Amino acid sequence: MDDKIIVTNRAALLRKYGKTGTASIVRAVNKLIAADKKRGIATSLVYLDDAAAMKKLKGVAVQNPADPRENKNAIDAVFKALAPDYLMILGAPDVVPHQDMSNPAYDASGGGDDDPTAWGDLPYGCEAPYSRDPAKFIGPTRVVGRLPDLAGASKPTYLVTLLTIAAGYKSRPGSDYMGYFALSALVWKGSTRASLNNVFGNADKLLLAPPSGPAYKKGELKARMHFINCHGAPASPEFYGQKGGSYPVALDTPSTQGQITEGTVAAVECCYGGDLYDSITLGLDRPIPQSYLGQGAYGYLGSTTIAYGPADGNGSADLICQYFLLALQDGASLGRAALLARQRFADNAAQLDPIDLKTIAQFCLLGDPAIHPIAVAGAEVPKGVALAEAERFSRAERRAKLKQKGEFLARTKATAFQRSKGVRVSATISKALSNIAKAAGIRDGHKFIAYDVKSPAGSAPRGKAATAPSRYHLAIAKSKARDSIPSGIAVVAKELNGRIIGYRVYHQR
Amino acid sequence: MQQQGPQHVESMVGQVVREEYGRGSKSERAAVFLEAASGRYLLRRKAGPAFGDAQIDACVGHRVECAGFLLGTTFLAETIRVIE
Repeated sequence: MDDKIIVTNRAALLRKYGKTGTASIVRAVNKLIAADKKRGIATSLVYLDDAAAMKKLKGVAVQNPADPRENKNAIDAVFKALAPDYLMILGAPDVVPHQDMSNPAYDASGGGDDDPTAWGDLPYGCEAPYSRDPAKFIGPTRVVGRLPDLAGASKPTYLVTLLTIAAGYKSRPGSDYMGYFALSALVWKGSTRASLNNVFGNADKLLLAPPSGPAYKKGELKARMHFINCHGAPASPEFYGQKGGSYPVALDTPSTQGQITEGTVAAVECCYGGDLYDSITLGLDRPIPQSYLGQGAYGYLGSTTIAYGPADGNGSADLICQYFLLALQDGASLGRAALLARQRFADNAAQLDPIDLKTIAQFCLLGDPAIHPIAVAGAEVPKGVALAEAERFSRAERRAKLKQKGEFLARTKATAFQRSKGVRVSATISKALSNIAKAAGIRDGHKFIAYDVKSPAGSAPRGKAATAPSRYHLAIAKSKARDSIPSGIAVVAKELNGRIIGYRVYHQR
Repeated sequence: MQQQGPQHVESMVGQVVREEYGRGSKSERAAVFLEAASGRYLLRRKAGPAFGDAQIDACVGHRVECAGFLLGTTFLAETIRVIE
């Protein structure tokens, strides 16, 4: 029985690295498997495009490495046949693709959310079959992470390095993860402080950009916990701060060189903070997450696309990043911490609105999911029971609980993914939305889009008047200038029984 | 993020405009777009900053010919030639 499965695509690796390069990657994988064995983890490698191997697993081999559906089906077959405690995707999206979930907040008219697709690995962590609807994947049950090579690479050195780091990883005492490096755009300092207080109990070490960055003194990034809340952009090796209309570089790939301590774990809220773009073809510095991992970081949680957060307090990207770090502090593996973060994020929302759905879809764990950065004291093991056997049993108990939780979420959580068709907004609602828009500082000419709330079959309460919203209204618009600085606002309003009964406001921060 | 990878484009002609981008998100700003026959793309210089690039800003209001890479809805320009 395997505790951990590594999945990859041999044809895609061969296309990138040739026979010799692929052979060196396989050797590094075998070293990781041997290192896992010493830690009591039985690990196997499965090629998703290996017809014979996939047939044994009652699955169908991937023909087209870029096809999300084929890859989802193949990974589902792996899980059904082997039920691993950990699944590690080996390779960037040009080896095993992200899943292509539709972005419910996408605004084709321009100016709003520019991402038609919320790329992510969430569906690989769910039992629901392939779909482009992120609302199908709000009940994750599987522990999944991705160890990415460099997109477009032809030399295997980088991936071999990452595999070697994973093979040699060490769990450390929690005290080694008490300190942190935190960086925030100046305009979001309030929200970032709140996040840091929630995770670390203080915000004393928060750096603001400007003035911080992009260069840092040697040792300034040495803490093993990183929390970054800045601007980001697609295919960019830079994160940006903000003061007024100025967006200075806060951190870039060169400034991370030689600065990342082995064992670092980063939670990064930036838009595109987890974008694994093809730096080789583009001739750009490698993505920041891949700079981290290449220097010995164990894990990195980041977003593939545009991310959201409220102006005051915390929400969306803030929360999923916090939950990830908090789970790690409790001694979870990287993969379990990511799963717990997703489950907690879904659980804490009464219903998942379009922004919530995009958030849970877009954040991905980069790193070997079986790595436990922080060591926790295990339970006493009775005489005659091997430590690995006892740990396997404890892990099975944890997985059973996570499975129950995920299934419960999938069965019960309502979502607002589908845009309402032919909806006629009453005068009462129209007036209420107009008032909310005005209060939120949205300029005239805004447009709300209505989304129907869909509850899983059988989960809606019966015999009582409805108590949960039946529809959400989303407006993403430019606010009136505040302190001479125009800022963006997304308003999500909840409708119940023909009335607007609440709303949330997300600001550009 | 573009799963298929960057596509090299020898020539794309279009009008450069400034519009809002990523409203309500962590990316929101006034950004520069290339309005071409094939679509509307966020315009950046490959060698320039993603935010506040003065050389890109100088193209606003002009018709330009660009060469570079298409990445989903972003055009990463290696060269930009002002036509008018």
